Amino acid sequence: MIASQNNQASTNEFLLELRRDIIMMAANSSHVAVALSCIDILAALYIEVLNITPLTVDAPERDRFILSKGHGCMALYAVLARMGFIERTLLNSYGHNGSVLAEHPLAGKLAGVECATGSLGHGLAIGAGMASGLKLQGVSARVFVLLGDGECNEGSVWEAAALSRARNLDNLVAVVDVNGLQACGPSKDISPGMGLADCWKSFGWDISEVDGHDYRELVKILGHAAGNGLPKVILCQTIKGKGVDFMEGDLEWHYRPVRGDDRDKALRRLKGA
Amino acid sequence: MIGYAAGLAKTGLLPFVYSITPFVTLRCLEQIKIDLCYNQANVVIVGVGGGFAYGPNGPTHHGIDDIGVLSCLPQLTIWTPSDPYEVRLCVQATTSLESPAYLRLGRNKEPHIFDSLNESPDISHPAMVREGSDGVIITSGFILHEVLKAVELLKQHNIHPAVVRLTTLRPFPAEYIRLMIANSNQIMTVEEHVATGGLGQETARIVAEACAGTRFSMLAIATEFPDACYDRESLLARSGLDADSIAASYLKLLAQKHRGYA
Repeated sequence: MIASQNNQASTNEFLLELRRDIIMMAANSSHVAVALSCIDILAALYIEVLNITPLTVDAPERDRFILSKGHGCMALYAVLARMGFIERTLLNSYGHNGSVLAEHPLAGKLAGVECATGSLGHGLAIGAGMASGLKLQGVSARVFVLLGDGECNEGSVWEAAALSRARNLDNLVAVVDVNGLQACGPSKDISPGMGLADCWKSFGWDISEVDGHDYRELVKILGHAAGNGLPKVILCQTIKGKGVDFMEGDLEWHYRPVRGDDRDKALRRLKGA
Repeated sequence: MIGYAAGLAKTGLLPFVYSITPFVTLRCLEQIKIDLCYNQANVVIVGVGGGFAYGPNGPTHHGIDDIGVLSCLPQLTIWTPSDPYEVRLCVQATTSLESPAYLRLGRNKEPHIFDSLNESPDISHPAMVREGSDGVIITSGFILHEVLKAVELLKQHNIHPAVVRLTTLRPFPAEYIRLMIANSNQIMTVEEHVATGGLGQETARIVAEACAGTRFSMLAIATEFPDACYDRESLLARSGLDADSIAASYLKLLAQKHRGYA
């Protein structure tokens, strides 16, 4: 019990560090709130679920992860750095001239980034192809694709969803960061009446829902392979800007860089001050 | 999005479809071809961030191949305004459109060029932005600003090229370019776009057909993905499209000896 409390405390500290890294990176770029909404999901995946380490980034049997919502890449970079895939000092170069850390993941530049993303609606189809390719070659690895709920407005997501069900890709997991707030407003205003859960269900996917900031629950549900012949989708209920109260649910922070007083305040709020 | 706009247009409206350049051009290319161009739906496609304006966002957000790709399509007017004033003129021109159009914007804070002129430029026609006696630089879009800076640098060498800007790139003003070739020994084109399908190639074809022995040089972006993250300024410099490089290329063009015809 004590051990698990310690464990919980160190996990919380780790998640806090990741959020700190994100805020430091966001000095000149948009999308801080995007990264804060999906960081717990990424942490759960990389720390406890994905069968991949810095030493196995090219191993055929590794699990694959695709950040289809490429604009959340500060979260990915922070996790890759903490997990030893890339140098932590590299984070300081984010968005700078000559850096391999662009504001959307570049192709072929970083250990642990399977493909370039940044134009929405591409990741699930690529993930489906990977899942199918692995199956055809008898490799039991899984493929995880992180999408945004706003991204689910892209028609290409649903073409990939239908194909994945048709191919019984039960090694494919779509993880949806349902923060309810996309680039131009709340999803419920932009697509009223579109029930995401119903959509995925009607495409024949195995569906589960989870609090996208509950680390333990995330680990449990992400780690559980459906094994029922169906591709699996996990709808993660999240808060855009989670962890910094004045950013939470505020569309402004989809775009606004974090500088000066904003940064100091954000770092203080992370600690609960 | 494009199909929806086509539907709106078919009811008599004039829809504007707006997004970051690649997402409103290459991503929906076939919809533009069939729904707008072939089905004759008057829609204005507005791409923000043409060229390298979204630099650090990476190649997914760069708009450096839009014009070449869209130039394959019949019926599509292509506007590449050079400053905010010209953007307004393009938007005004949409009211008399008889076919779909693509309007290529920068991102923001593009410098004003035409506000300082006494006359309002005619966007439907190429315009001489600077008079000159040492050949011509032809350009299009916001890169005009770099070209004008290059012209200032060339002045220090006592070289005075004329500068022509094209705002309507399609239909291409071939007749105007033909006249220009007849009156000039050297022509350089400058564009914030890959060479394929762009201003330079279109001009080169006319130069070649004219057989007038004109010295010609084309400055465009290389067809490759950048090796890292860069802002627009750095990407332009790396592509030889900053003012210094443009001036240097022009000097090189002037120094070229005619090989004549064997």
